[in-house]
Amino acid sequence: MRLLVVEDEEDLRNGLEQALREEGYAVDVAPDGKEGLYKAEAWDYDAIVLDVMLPEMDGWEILSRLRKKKKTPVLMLTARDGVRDRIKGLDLGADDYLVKPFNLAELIARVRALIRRAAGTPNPVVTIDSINIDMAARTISVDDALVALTAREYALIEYLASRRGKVVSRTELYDHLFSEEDESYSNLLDVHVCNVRKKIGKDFIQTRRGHGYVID
Amino acid sequence: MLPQSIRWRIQAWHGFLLVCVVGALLFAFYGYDRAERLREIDAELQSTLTPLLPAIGGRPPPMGMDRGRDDAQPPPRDSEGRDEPPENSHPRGKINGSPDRLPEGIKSGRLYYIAWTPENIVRISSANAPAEALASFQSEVSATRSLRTRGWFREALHYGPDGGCTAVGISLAPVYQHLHRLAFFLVGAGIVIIALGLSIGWWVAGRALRPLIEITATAQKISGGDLSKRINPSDAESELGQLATVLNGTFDKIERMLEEQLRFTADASHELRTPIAVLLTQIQLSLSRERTPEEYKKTLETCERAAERMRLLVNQLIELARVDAGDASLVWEKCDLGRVARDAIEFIDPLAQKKKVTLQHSIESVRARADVMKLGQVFINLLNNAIHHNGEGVEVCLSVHRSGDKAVVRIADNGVGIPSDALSHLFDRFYRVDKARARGKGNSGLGLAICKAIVEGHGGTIRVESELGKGTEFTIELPAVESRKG
Repeated sequence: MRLLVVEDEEDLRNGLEQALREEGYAVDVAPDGKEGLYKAEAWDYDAIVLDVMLPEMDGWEILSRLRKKKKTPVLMLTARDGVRDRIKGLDLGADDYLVKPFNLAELIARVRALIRRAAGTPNPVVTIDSINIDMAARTISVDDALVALTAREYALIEYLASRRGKVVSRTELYDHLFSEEDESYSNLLDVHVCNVRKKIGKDFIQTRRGHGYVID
Repeated sequence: MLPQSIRWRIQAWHGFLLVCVVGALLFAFYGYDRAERLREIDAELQSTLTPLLPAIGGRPPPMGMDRGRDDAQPPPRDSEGRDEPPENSHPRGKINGSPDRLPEGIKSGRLYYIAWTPENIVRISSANAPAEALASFQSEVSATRSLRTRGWFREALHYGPDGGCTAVGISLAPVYQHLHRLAFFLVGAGIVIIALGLSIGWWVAGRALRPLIEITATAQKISGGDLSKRINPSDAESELGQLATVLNGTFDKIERMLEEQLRFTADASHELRTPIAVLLTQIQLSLSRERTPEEYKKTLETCERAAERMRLLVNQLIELARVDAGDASLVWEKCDLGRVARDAIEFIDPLAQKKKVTLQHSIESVRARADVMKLGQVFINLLNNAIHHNGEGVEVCLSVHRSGDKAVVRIADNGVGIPSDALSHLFDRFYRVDKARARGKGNSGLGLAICKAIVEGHGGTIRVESELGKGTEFTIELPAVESRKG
């Protein structure tokens, strides 16, 4: 899952970036409105955390411009808690709204919910045969036994599982699992797929040669 | 509407005056008309009496002996009765010569005449003379002529030298009937005029006071919280229209002040929320799992920055609140502004050297009443801005001199300048020219607002001129006091 954080306050941006990374997301950041809009339009992020008060271009503007092109889920962050501001944000096409100062756990939970809803699987628990994927706890269990996974491996499974039955191309997987800062060797994805197959089962992720991967 | 209302009071006074004036006018008219009619009757009687005397055997009187006329009082009706002259009765006695010689009034039967012998016996009388009008009263009167009102009749009397008496009379009944009708008419007219006047007055008062009602309604809405409401000054020329204009101005000011206050509060809370968000995020992130000592240290450093920023902001907010409170917060003393400026330069010099900024000054001694600490802060703040916002190698010049009864302080630099669209907002609270860079770096956006508040607290003004690429100049003018050498 790849996210974009647009926030001008350096300390806050760094904190958010680190927290989301530790949750297993690939995170891009933008320190001002222009760069934020550029990145948001250039990539298919799974969700965007967008501050309202930004230099160059404010959050409202970014949102209204982005909505003409993409349906990327957007969580607005603002220091203003007026009802009018909240209504404005939601009317402009924001998917959720959080007032600063916020609770970090709440922000992460809201991001998770946004991603699930956007993928069309609002239920946080997905069951495939004997495999349970708990997207809230970010755990996977086989026959009620927890499987130890790295954040990247979990993200791979979650991405494919929330698009169950759809073939996902390697490029798309790269785009959504790695941020622009990650060093992504061309065979890194193969390594992750291989590890997941070892831990969960050979046929869990199937390869469609020339197309990509799929979980049936 | 309450009886105590202005409309009712106006109406009561207006009604009272109207009744008095209309009553007095109509009464005077009635009195005049009545007097005029009696005067006419008296004149006719007198003028009839003279030609009558030879006709009925009296002698005309010597001229100039008129006794004047009595006040003609209407007779008390009950005692005298309504004595109409008997109409078709024959005249008693004989007249001298042809009846054609009789005066016109008597021929037409409107007037009657009676003549008495000295023995008080009717010598001759016209047919229409009232039956009981016979009593003579020579004893009462000494003059040859007199006028009297007897019951319903008015008579002019002539006393002959022989003691006989001749009277010409007329019934007053038609006159009284006329006056009676007139009185009824006048009372009716009075009632109509007063009623009309009162209703017009009620309408005019209501119309004149309608803006007051509107003002009240609007003020009620405003006190109810809808500050955007304004009175519609329907008639700007009238006193109430002027009042409405003044009130509208006041409402505008209150609304602006309130909006400013609301925006300030929102801005202040916004400025505080961001560092709190940093603190919470860092702390919650840190606590979410075990960290290395280096990570903890980094978190603590970030938290310190955030806390430091809040400290600065809170201090400046308190400062601003103090200055806003006005005069009371300033510690006044007589001082030399040149000395305050030199202290400020001394204070800022290390920073200037570090940033490779050249500080110049041209300072003369100007005495003023000021809060030395606060004013020093203003100078330091402006110098600090000039050093921070321009690159290395810039020149900053501080000058203090006297101009008339004003002390003029200039802080000028030849640096990057300020965009013209930002100049008008420069002293606004939480306004930052460079939004991207300035926040969180010891710049709360309140510095210039505080400077302005302090200078204005001193009864002075501060203004700024700037051109992009050329530099910026702040000019402060303060009231100076008479300089004493030394």
